[in-house]
Amino acid sequence: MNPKSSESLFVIGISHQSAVVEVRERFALDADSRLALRDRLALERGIDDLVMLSTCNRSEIYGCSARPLNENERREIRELIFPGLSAQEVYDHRGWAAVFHFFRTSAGVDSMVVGESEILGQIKGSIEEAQGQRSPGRELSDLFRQGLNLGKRVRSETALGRGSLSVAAVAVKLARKVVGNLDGRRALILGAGETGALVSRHLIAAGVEKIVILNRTLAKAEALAEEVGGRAGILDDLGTELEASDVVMGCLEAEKPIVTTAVVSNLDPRTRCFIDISVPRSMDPKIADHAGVFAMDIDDLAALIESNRGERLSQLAEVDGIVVGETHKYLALQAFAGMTPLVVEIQDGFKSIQDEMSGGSDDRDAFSEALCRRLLGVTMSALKRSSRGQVSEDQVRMAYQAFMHREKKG
Amino acid sequence: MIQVVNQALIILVPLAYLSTLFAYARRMTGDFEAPKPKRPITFLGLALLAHAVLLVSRYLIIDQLPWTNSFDVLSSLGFLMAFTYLLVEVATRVSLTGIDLLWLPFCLVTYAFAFGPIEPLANDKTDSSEFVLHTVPAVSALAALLVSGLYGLLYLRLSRAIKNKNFGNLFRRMPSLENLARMNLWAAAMGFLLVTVGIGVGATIYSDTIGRLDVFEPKIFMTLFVWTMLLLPLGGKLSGRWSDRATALVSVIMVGVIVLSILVATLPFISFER
Repeated sequence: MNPKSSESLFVIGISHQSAVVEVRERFALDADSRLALRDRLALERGIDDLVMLSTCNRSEIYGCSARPLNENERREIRELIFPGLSAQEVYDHRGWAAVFHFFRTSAGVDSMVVGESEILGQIKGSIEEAQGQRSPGRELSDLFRQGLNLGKRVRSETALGRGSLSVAAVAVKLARKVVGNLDGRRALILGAGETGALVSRHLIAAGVEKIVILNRTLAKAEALAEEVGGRAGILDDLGTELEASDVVMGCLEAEKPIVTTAVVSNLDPRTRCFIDISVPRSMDPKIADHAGVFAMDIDDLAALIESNRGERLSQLAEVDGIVVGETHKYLALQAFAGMTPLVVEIQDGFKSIQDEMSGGSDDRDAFSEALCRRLLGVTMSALKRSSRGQVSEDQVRMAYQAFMHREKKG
Repeated sequence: MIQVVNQALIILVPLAYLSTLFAYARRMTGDFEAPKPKRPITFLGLALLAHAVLLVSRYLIIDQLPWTNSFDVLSSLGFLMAFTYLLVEVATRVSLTGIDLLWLPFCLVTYAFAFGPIEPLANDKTDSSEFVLHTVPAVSALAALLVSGLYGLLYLRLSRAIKNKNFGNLFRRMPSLENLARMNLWAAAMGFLLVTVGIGVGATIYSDTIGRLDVFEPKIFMTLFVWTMLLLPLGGKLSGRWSDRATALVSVIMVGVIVLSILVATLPFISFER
């Protein structure tokens, strides 16, 4: 990728770092809205090389335009995706900065729980979804493939991922702080998706005796209940199930809260812990006013995680080194890929010279075949070295430092 | 011999409590959830044993219940509070709150031993078995209710920290809210039981010496008020109608009421005991 084409890569998004949960839940991208947004960007902006990463902590659109977008165009796209949000709430990186941002995300250093590995599954899911709709171009495919490799490398080569917690694990830890030992307790899980499953497993591991899964569709709830040894139900059973529960976990994306003040108003004043890790939230924050109810949402978990992240920060310098190295490798790969026409031309040139030397006959000798292959190999190596040399690692490091400085200031 | 032991313990007991505080403070460092090699309850047990020997030696020296001057009162109260804490820790198996509770017995004991008058006040009443049967449960109840009040305060502080999403040091080092509520309830229940015994014996002494009970007599009124106030959160909690927060709040208020009732009971111009 030459410097100009690297500028075509961009990411526009919001995350727990830039926007509070009230904002994130308004712009959460479910499967339907991702599809609709993809169509709009293709139709209105002519950008169809897109990957959308949507988790409870981030909604990001990675794209690669045919030519670098100017400031006005990027502002219009920002407004199209996140209407009404301020520049502080929406980040918009292009070129190298977009690569840095994505690699940091896949390394888990931009996650709420630094070093968590759930993000890798979410990145994999997003690229697979994009491949299933319109095949993303080479730049994005390479970026995501390399990001996934970087994520694995960071977790295996540094201590960042060692003993790392997930949001689900932190939620269970917080529940223990409120209701005490979970042995023999009863938990209610709202939602039978990936997060619901993860939370259920953590609760079972923490000693919860009875687990009830409520979901919109009974079949999905039953499948998870069978896996974790719990009981399944539909959301209509919420009122009765709440009464008997000590811990309630919201893992269900809902357009409006399901656990409302009206639902909890009839509960006895026994201490109960309500933790909502879904975005949009499934619990009304006002339920905390009811006696005995301790209600927390995902941003509250972030505050808890933040208070414990000190020791992990010491690992970040090592991760930064890996991000710089991988970015350099990515840029070299793209630069080399940009030389494809030249490589084809050289290959054709060698072949025609070989043909010319053999006088047009088909029986080329083994020596000339081997010579051509060796010469082609030497040429390729020289080209690779040249593509790596286009941008030095020091230049990438300096750009990364500038990026991090901007991020900290932002 | 007893005098020598007594004098030695007057110096050693505060040091034993101080060592206990250090042991509990050490429990607070590092990973709060990890088990520590030396359990601080051992230090507490030794401090209480030394203190018990001191109280017995005092009893043998002054030949009456050690409850006649500020030295003995503060020393006994400190002992009973620390002992109540020990029972609560054994019952709940939570040692994270030791530092938050044991500072008060330590202060009481240290103050008493440093500044309290050693010579007992002559008081014939303290020789009677009725007095012992009335006073010991009453003072023990006071100690248990002070402990309950302190747990109530810790519960309210942690509950407020969680509600305000303040996950600082208090959040990290405290046991769960549920544990604090249980400790609060345990201490309150012990206090209630002892107050009931104290009231029963006190009423018998009163009817034998003074005659018909006058419920509007300040001490009796305040005592019955405290007893009723204790019954409310305990009953409310056991029936499931009261939240842990309400119970904690009442136990904190109770400490204020008890202090007031002591003041009322000891006001020279209104109490029957004068």
